[in-house]
This record gives sequence, C-alpha cells and structure tokens, in this order.
Amino acid sequence: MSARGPAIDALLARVREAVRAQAVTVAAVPAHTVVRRIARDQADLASLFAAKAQSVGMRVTRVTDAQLDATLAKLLESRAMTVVAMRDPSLAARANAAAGARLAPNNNDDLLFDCEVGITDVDCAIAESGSLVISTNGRIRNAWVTPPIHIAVVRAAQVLADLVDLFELRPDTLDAASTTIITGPSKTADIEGVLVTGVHGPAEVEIVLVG
Amino acid sequence: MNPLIAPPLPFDMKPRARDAVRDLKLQQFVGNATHLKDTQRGGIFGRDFGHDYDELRTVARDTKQYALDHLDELLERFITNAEKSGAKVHAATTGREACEIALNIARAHGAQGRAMSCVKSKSMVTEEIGLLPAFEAAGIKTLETDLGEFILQIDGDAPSHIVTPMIHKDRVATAKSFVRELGARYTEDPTELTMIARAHMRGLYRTADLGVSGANFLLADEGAAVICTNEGNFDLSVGGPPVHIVFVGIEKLIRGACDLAPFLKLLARSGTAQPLTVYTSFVRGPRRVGEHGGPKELHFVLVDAGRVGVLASEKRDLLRCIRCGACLNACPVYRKVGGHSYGSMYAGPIGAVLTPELERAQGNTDAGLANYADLPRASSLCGACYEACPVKIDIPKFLMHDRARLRERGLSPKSEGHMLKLWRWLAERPAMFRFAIRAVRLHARMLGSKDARSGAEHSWIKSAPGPGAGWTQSRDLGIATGESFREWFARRDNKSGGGR
Amino acid sequence: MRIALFTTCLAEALAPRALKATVLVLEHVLEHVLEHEGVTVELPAAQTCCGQPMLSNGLPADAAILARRMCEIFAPYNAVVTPSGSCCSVVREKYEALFARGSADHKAVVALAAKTFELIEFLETQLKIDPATLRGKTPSAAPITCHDACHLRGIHRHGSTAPYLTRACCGDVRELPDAAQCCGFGGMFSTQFPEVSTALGEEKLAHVASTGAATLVASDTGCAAHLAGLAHRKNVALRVISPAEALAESLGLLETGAPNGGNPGAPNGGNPGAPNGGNPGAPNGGNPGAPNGGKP
Repeated sequence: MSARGPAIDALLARVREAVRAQAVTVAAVPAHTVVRRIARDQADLASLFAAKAQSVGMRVTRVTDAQLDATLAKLLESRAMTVVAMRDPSLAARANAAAGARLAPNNNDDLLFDCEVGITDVDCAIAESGSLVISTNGRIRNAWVTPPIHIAVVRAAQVLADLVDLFELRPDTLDAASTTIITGPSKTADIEGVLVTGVHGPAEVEIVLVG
Repeated sequence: MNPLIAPPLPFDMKPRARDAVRDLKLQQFVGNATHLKDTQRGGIFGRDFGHDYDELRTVARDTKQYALDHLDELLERFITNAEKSGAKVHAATTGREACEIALNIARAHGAQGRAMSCVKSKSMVTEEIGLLPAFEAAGIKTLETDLGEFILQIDGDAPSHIVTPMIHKDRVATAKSFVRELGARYTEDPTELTMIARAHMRGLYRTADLGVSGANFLLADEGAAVICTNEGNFDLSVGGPPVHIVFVGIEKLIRGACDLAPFLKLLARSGTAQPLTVYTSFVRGPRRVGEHGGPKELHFVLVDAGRVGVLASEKRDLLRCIRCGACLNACPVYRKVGGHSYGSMYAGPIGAVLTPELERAQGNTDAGLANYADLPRASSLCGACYEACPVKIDIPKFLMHDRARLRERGLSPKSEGHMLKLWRWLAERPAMFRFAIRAVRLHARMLGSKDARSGAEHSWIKSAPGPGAGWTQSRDLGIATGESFREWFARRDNKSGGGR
Repeated sequence: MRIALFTTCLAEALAPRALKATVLVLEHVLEHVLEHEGVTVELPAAQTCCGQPMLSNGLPADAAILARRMCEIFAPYNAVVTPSGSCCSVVREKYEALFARGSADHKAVVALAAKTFELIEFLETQLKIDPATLRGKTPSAAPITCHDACHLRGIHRHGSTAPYLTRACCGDVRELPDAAQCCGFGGMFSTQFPEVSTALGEEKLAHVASTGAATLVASDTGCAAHLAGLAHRKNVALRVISPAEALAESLGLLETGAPNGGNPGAPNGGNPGAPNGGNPGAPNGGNPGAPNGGKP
C-alpha cells in the first residue's frame, strides 16, 4: 500500500471488494464513431464553426489577416479597460496596439473585475458545437470569464471538426492547470425559464475568425 | 439541513404529493418547464443525431459501466495523477467525514479573529453531505453562486430539481427575497434580478478565502476534474480564492478525456437541450509557477456516502447517472408532485431509486428503504424515465426491485400483500378465478348503477371497499355485467357447430 | 397456424367487448383478407392472469408461478394475441428477468415472448395487413383520438395505433396533444397515489377534449378503465374503447355504442369525498367534449 494515508487506502480496499461483488458486464470501452455525427463529411469547418457559434449566441466576424487590426480597433473603440490574454506574442502585440491607452496589466487577476473587455486567442475551436477552447497555458486565468465582454481571435486553421478531435489530436490542451470549452455567452434561465445572458461571465462574446 | 430535502425520517411522501397536486402555481411552473425541456431534448437529439441517438446512448452506457466495473483501477490512477499535478486527494466514507475534511482544510487557512468566507458553485454531493450547515456551524459564511441556488439560499428554500433547482419558484418570490435580504429595489424583471445578483456576488468572489464545487466527471488518466456550468460561476469560484475544494462522488470517474466526448454530448442536450453547457471547465492541479490566478491549493474530497455499497449491489447501474435531470423532466409523477415531494436532494425517478441507497454507508442496507418506503411506489412505471436516460438506466426495473425488497422486509401494506397473494392463488385455479370474476360482476350488477357504455352493459361502482377505495375516491369503476366474453364465445362456437 | 386469444383478467372483468372485437377482427382478417382456410382464433380456457399485479408490486416469485402457467397454456399455439398493451409487454419484456438464464423456464418464457403480440402490432407486423384493406364500406368521419399504453414504449409500438387506425379509416383520427405522457393509471399506483393518478388522468382527458373527439381509443384495458371511470364520475360524454373495437365498428362487425356520459342518475364530480386534482371549482356535468382537466 502507498503512503497516501489510511483513509484513501481504506477506500481503495473497499472499492476493490465492491467491484468484485458483481460480475463485470463491460470488459472494454466501446469504439464510438457515432459520436462524430454532426461534423461528419463537413469540408468547410470554419463556416460550420461560425454558424454553430452564432446559433449559441456568440457574434462572429470573419476577416482576413490584413483586416484584423482594424477590426480589433473598431471592436475596442469606446470601450473602457481591456485585458489582453494571448499566448501568441504577435497576436498579443496587435491586440495591445488596438487597446492602446486602455490596456490593463495582464499579471493581476484581481484587476480583471475592473476590466470591460478581455481579449484572448484560443488553443483551438470546435466546429460541431461552435466552441472556443482556451487554457491557462500562457494566459492570465479567467480573462475570458470575468470582464463583461469577451473577444476571441480564432484562426480558421485552429478549427477542429469535433469535440473528439480535441481529446485525440490536441490532448496537450488539457495539460494546463485549467482549460475551458466555451459555448456561448454566460447564461441562466433559473428565473421562470427566461433566458438571461451575462449572469457571471460575459454577456457578449465576439469571435473574430481570421482566414 | 433544510427539512424540505432532509425531512424527519421515516419520510411520508403522500401528504406532500397531495398538497403539490393542489398547488396550482406549482402545477403551472413545474408542468410547463418540464414539458418544454422534455420536448426540446427530443428536438435537439433528433436534429443532431437522428437515428444514431440510441447508439450514442449505448456507447455512453457501456463506457460508464466499464468505469464502474473497473473503478478500483481508475480510482488508483486518478489519485496518482491528481497528486502528480499537485492536488491533494482525500477520502471520506460518510458525509460527516467529508465535512470534517473540509473544515480541517479551512482551519489551516483561517486567520485568527476573522470570519472566513466561501464561494460555492452548484454541487449535488455537497447538498447530500450537508456541507453548508457544517460550514455555518463553524462560522464559515458560504455564498451559493449558481443563480438558482443563490435565490433558494437567501429565501431559505431548497432545490427541487437536479439541474433547474428553483423550477418550483417564481419571479415574485425572487423579487421579494431580493428586497428583504439584499436591500434591492423591487423588480420582477428576470434580467434586472439577475444583474442585482451579479453585482452582489462580484465583490464576494474577490474576497473569498475558499472556493467549493462539485464535479461532473473525474478523469483518471489526467487526474483532472470536469465541471459544467452555464453561468461561469465555477470558473470564478475556482479562479479567485487561494484554496479550492472539489467534492465528488467516486462514481464520477471515467477512464480519461479519451472517453469524455459522448458524455459531454449527452449531458447538456439531455438536461437543457444545449449542444454543450456554456462552460466546460477542466481543472488539473493548483496554479502553476508563474501563473496569474487560480487556487494555490487544490483539494479533491472523494465521497463514498453509500456509493461503495451500491457498487457492490445489484443496483450498480444507478451509479452511471450523470445528473442530467432528463428523467425528472420526462416523469409524469414528478411533473405533478414536484421535487420537494421526494424529501431528498435527488427527486424524480432517479431520486426514487437513489435516495433509499444513501444510507448504506452506515452499514444498514435497508435503513434507507425503510425511511423512504413510499418512493419506489410513487411511480406508474410508465417507462418515460428509461426512454429519456442518456446512459440507459432501467429505472422502472429498479423501482420494481425495490418494491420486492419492501415486500420481503414487511415494509409494504400487509392487506395489499394478502390480496395479491389471494389473487395469485385464485389465478392458479381457473374455475375459482372465473367464479371470483363472476362474483364481482354479480356484486356490481346488484350494487352498481347501470347505464349503457360502448354497447355493452356496465354497472358503475361509486364506492369500493379496501384498496378499491383509492380508486373510487375520484373515479367510478365500470364492471361489465352483461353477457361475459366466455359466454359469448361459447354461444358462437355452439351456433357454428364448434368446428369453425 | 393456431392463434390463441390472450384475454387478460382485466379485460374479462371490465372490457368483454374489446375481446369480442379482437376475435371478430382477427376472424375477418383471416377469412376475408388473407383467405386462410381453417385458421381460427382459439380461447385457451385455463388462462387467468399474467401476473403483472404481483410483478409490479413486489411479489416476483408469485408472478413467476403465473408466468409458468402462461407458458404451459399457450405452448400449443403459434401466436398469442391480446388487445391489452400492458399485459402484452409483461410477457414480452418482464418475464425473462424472473428466471435464471439457461433454465427451462427461461427458455419457455423467451419462446412465449417471441410469439405474443398486441392486436394492432400483430396485424401490422405479423399478418402484414395493409390497413387500407380494413376500410369499412362506409368509413366513419366521427372524430376519434388515440392514447397508447406507455408499456408499448418498450416494444417500440408507442404512438403506432393512431397511424394504423387513420389508414384503416376508423374515423377522423385527431392528434392527441402530449400523447407521450402517461394517463396516470399505473396499476395499483392508481389506488396508492390516487390524487396524482387522478390529476394525470384529468390532464389526459383535457387533452382529449381539446381534440374535439368524443371517442378515445386506448390500447390498454387499465388505462381505458381509469380514463372511462374518471369521465363517468365527471359526467363527461366520452366513449373509451380499444383499438379492436374501433376496427370492428368500422368494419361493421360491431355496432357503434353509446357514450358513457350524460346519465342523469350519475352523481357528478362534486362528490365531497373526491378531490378534484387541484381543480375544485367546476365539475363538468354532462358538457360533452370538455372534461375538467387538471391542467390549469
């Protein structure tokens, strides 16, 4: 037994005994091609991603790389303090330039509560569900949840077909202390089923899809 | 704990069910919301998976069953990998132990002379173990951050649905409690009410000493937890405070991210007809060196509280449950009686089979069943829950199983048992059985009121004795008193020479 | 081929007309549609009860005794047909779990399950009768609606009665709102939780009323007795019949009967002993087409 302490060893022993008390009914995890049904046979993943992201309530602007700086500048126009949380240094530099004087330092997570906008890049995106995947690897945590507006820059090449691909092709994404798959603005329907956005996280998610 | 979900035992469901059926507001809120969610669930699965939906459920069923059949290996792997990423792992046999572990963690961080505060995101297992009362007794002020749970908390109410905890409650009650408890101005607008709650909670996230959450899945290969929310409250609860504790039932383990996709695709679609919850958050260890934000300490408290007993029993399948709430939305009885009628944090069909198991940890496998003897009976066995379940738990089968346990242990009404035994005895003796049916018909002919129904002569009984009284309190009983089927059949046979 | 009628004890006591109709429809199909010579519908005299009440109420060993009887009684036949959906599902789905896999009893119940059918299912999937061939000489235009027994879910027949009766021109078959929801019968549940059972039944009757149909076709004897009993107590003019009766009436094999309501002698729903599913205000005396549903 390990040096984990008696409580854990006792739990493991009891679970071992309990597992053996009934016959094993499933000896191997089933293969699951059926899980991929939604994006199956879809050639244009970026367009599928854009459509699905919009269907869950995020806004999508599709631009060329050349249009990116102007797009970011326009999105940040008239906004208050902005935090840039990007792992890609060149993207970060362009976002910093767009934020200009309204730029918040990106090493103080308490200040996130005072920001109006969090701009991030993404680890990848998922076409079938219209989701963004963002990890804390190289980004200040929660810059995509705390401010009321989240702007995400996604390159078309980052779009994966299916959630399964995140786990199969990009397992490194989950190496970070925290990774979040985001599928829409913060939502609640707790009060009489009426949909309200922005309850804890951002009410607005702007996706700038590049390429 | 709140008596609505932790009532005095043994629990009598009938008075609550009777009151709920007469509560017009509850009928409207719960009826409408459950019908809507159930319809939307069918819609999104039809659109996204079509005829493959059933296969997707089979994959999820078998994947989770595999995990349960190998839970000892997975648990060991999870502990190793979670510790590798810097988390601390604890084990609790009972709810009380789980609370004690949390209190010890809290005490280690408490500053002398200052009350501690905790931000908590929605978790069924913390309801189950009574964490909030334990924290309260220790002077730790806890904020429920899920909007529904927050409203229930400030109004002294209790959740009545796994996914939509305040399904039984309206905006007026919310508005009143916000005025009373938060000093807010009166508004019934859901958006304004939500923004009042948001503003109230923002400051508390920044100053909390402790974050607490549950988990939807544990990944053995990654040593990580997966938490699904729509509001983003988990991310804020785990991001700010220096210490975070994840309470999680051991049945949440799966092999790893490699097996996660089918569950994520089923969970939100089954619960709220969304492709995924807005936030699907992976937590793998505390904050790393050089990172900004995130807890400095991350604790996992692995909770048994009866689960090991269920694992060892013929009810192992129940541990496949991913708490999506689809069976509640589909259940005709839940729709009529609401969650509080079940006297447990787990309401509806899954609650009816799970709640009696939660006391197994104390070593008495039948205590829970004796305390909740009504739950297995509070079902028409219509099968809507089984049909809705994303991991194909045959809930009606387990309800019937529990009814047999009740009967064996003498926990069901004796008269009913005698009547059924007599029925079976007669049914083995066809002549006597037919005589009994004739006697009933004769009785009805003499005492019932007559009128024509569907061309056959029926007598209507207005008031029946014994178990029949439950029937005739609101229904007439139409007994056929004209020519019997067998008489008719014999007459035709004779007419046609018996040789047709 | 030998076809046995599985009468069910409930139908013998409460719904003999459904059984007559089943025999008449089957004979009609065999003689006039399939033109099978010498195939008759037989009535195994020793049959009593399939054991569902024991099975559903915690007495599986008692149910097993009756399951064995059922196997013996129906052994000589090629097909076992019943108008009662729930009893059918017990034989088809529930018997198996009563016996150890591999035992002689288990083999016997599996064999019985493989040849037991609800009437409409038997016509559609076994005899492969195109419902269009069951059109009567003067198809009825009267509005009807269908409630399928929840237990037909398991044998994938839920919701299939209405389309069949539509194509057989049994009337103007109206879609029943929220058709998937249970009517609240549930066997002894109806007496153990009468208020909940009644509230569900009232909701079902309200949906039936909203279709404008004065005839409800219910594919289980229990559901039919529950809904008819509720309607009768409330003096609602509603006929509740089985799919077999709907077909038999349409084919002219049975005369169309009278509705059960409107009986001046019958007490109304305001019976002080009878809680009214949360809707205490208005028993709906004799008002055809508008039962007093539990849904506010």
